[in-house]
Amino acid sequence: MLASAIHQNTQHAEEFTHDGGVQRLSDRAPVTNDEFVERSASYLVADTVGSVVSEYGELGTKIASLAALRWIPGYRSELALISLSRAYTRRCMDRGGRWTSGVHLLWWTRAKLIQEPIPELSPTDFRLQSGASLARQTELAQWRLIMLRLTFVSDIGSHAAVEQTESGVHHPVSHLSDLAERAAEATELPSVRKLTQWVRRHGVPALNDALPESAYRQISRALHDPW
Amino acid sequence: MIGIVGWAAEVRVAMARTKWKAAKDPLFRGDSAGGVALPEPTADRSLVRHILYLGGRGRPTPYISTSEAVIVALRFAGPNGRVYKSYPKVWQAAGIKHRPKSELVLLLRGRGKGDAVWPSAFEVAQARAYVEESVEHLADCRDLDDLDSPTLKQTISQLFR
Repeated sequence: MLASAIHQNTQHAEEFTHDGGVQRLSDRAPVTNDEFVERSASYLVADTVGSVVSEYGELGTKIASLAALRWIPGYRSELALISLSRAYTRRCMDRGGRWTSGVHLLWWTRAKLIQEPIPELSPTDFRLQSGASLARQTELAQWRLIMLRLTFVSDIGSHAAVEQTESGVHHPVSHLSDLAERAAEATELPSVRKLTQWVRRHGVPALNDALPESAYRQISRALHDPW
Repeated sequence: MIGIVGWAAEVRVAMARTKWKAAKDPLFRGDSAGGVALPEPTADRSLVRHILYLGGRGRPTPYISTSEAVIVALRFAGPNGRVYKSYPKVWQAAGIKHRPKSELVLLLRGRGKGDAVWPSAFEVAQARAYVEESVEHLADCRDLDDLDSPTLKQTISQLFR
């Protein structure tokens, strides 16, 4: 999953240059008019989640932004938190960091899988109407967020899989690298009922095996008191 | 009284007609104002690759995506495009196969079946979610591989108006 995302990112970067600014997809022409570019971010920052996301990284405190998102209830804040967590941990790894840079984010995600197995969602959270019924649109959104939680866990597993411990083996968290794919394969369809059942019976136990609380606390202590 | 009954009957008929029928109802596609993007009949036949839009804008595909819902087509048309309408009941005569939503959701399960076979069950599930949300049907143009480019363009522009 992470490898696929990296591949798509690489392809996109090869096709679209950074110095062209905002570009129209059809012909790569730079565009600056209001049709394509929103000049003011005022609407975004008027919203609590939008405000935190728009400030992400600006003050050099990415983890503080992530922590702030953690305490904002709701679907959108969790969607923002997990999306940015994926980017944060990948960036840490790209800069020579370790998978443990995401250990707290992993633990928070584990908590969500256990304490809020079905994300709460309101129709007002939607920005677009789809062709499906509102009930099915809601279920698909819930399914996507649960799968995104598992995708982030899989990301951390993938990061752990490229590291070796001092004894030459991978940390058990590396066994989680295909967790999202295993869930999808076992459940076959985008069904919240099937997915939450799988998470309860297989996903959380796999997480607990890979990172029991004692191990999390040990890593956490080492991160904050390396001496 | 008769008027009220008549009105109620019309509402009942209208509600009964909301289920889409291939024999008489159109499908809609949002695309650029200059015309529907032409399919490439010999391109990769993977349904998952097409539905997930892998490869991005301009990527070759033998399929044309359509929707039962105008609101979906409007979203894809964007501010500068337009919505095209087409009737699948006439596709067969033009050599185009109708792949209805009902068929797509059957194929998009697990690691996919038939033209939906794919190595990732997660991506198959995402494709299925898109099909449901977009109420998607496909025009399968693989049998048009013997048409030259101008004829293909003419065929598609006649079917999608």
